[in-house]
Amino acid sequence: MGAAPLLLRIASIILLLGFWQLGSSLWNNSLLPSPIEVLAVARAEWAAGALSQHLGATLRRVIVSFTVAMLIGGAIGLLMGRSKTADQLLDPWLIFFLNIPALVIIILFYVWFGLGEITAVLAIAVNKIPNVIVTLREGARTLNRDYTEMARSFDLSSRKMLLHIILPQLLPFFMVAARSGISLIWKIVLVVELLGRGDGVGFQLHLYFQLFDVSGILAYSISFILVMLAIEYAVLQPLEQRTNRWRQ
Amino acid sequence: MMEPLRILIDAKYFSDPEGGPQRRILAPIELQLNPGEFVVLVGPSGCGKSTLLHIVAGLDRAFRGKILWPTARRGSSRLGYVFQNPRLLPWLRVRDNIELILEKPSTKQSRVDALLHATGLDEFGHFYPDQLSLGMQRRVALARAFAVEPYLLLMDEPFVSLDQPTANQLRELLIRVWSTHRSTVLFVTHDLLEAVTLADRIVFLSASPARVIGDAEVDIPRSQRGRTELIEACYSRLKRRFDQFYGDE
Repeated sequence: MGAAPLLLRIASIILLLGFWQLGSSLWNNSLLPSPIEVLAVARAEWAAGALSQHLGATLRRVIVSFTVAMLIGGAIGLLMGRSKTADQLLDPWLIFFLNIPALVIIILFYVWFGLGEITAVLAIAVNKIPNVIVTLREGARTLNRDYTEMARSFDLSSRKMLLHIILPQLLPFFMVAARSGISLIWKIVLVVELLGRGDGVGFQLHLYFQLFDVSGILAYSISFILVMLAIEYAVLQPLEQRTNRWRQ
Repeated sequence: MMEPLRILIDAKYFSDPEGGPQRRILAPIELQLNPGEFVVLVGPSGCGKSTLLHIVAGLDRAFRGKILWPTARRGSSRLGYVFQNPRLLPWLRVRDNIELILEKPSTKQSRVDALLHATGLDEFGHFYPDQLSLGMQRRVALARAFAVEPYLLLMDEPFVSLDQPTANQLRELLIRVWSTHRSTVLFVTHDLLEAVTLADRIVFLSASPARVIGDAEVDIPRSQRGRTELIEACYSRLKRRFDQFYGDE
């Protein structure tokens, strides 16, 4: 990124904060607190240890359910992309699951399996798995036969085949699924927490909603957005650059 | 120990994906490859040469016939394959592309070094394939095929779409590396001059469905292959047969 685009980005954020500040001073109502007030709430919550506790709980659920969804969805997607029979057999289920609202899955899981941590994480993963399947199936369909034939004629082990022939070709599709997945998942996590957990950002939002405390709502949601931004810039983008090193 | 590799094919069909009639690709073909022999298959484009190589490599098992491998196969791996496109993995460096197909880690380092040196790639081990020209990529593919010390080396028009000097350079390189390894080679081309330059024996295949229509020894000793007048004499002798077989194509 050059200097000018970076400056533009910073200017754009300052502009947004400026409009927010202006709006809150014009309306002058506790339902639209100024950015400075929200920051004060966030700092107080941080000092009390509550902010880090709830952010941590939410982040943990995001990571666990993301991992579960990527592994299961990746495996099923690969299977459906490679085997026509599996594809035809599982496709109606896939469409069914793609179209169940997230809320329905969450409610049913809580009703059937109880208000537990494992239920929560599974409910989130099940919401994401169909998207991962669709993306990875597309990837598995585009696998280059030239490479597979080369590997077979040189008698490569199935471990090498998976690690060095198949996975590198699927990597861009994994990245797409991961990118869209992580932002989808954290929104679902909040619903899960709101409906049946005793901690996490969603739980706190529920609490502040009952108090009509907009400062608290904004403090928690913006903090978590910042966490997600940090993940995007510190983990996902460097990872993507590393895996794309060979592309000129 | 001089048992040949025997290729006995009765027939090979391709089925039409739209459910039409099956198309015959290969007629009965019988070929014997003696150990260490360099055999070049010549035939018109689309006659089924690549299919034949696929069958020998075991990549295509839907055919009638059999491939009889010699029982004593000099403790080396069975197969090396140089494809028409280099088929290097673009996400692996040159070195890793070659190491990938080797099994014993202990011997890897030195063997890859030796092959990179033999193919003039010493400086390029850490390059990614896409950073190299097509000619260089083909050298890597050649090095990779020899890395497994194959009993049989299959080569499917490995030097097409290169400029003449580069192609000649690679042919010399091939013969140099091959003469130290002495694999049996089955090499496919539609270029008679290339066939004469490289082959111990040339086998002519008909247009599709392919069958063997002729056979010619190239009796120029390996030490004399640099003499263009010998190559040209042999070429013009075979060219008449070639034209009879394939018309003006």
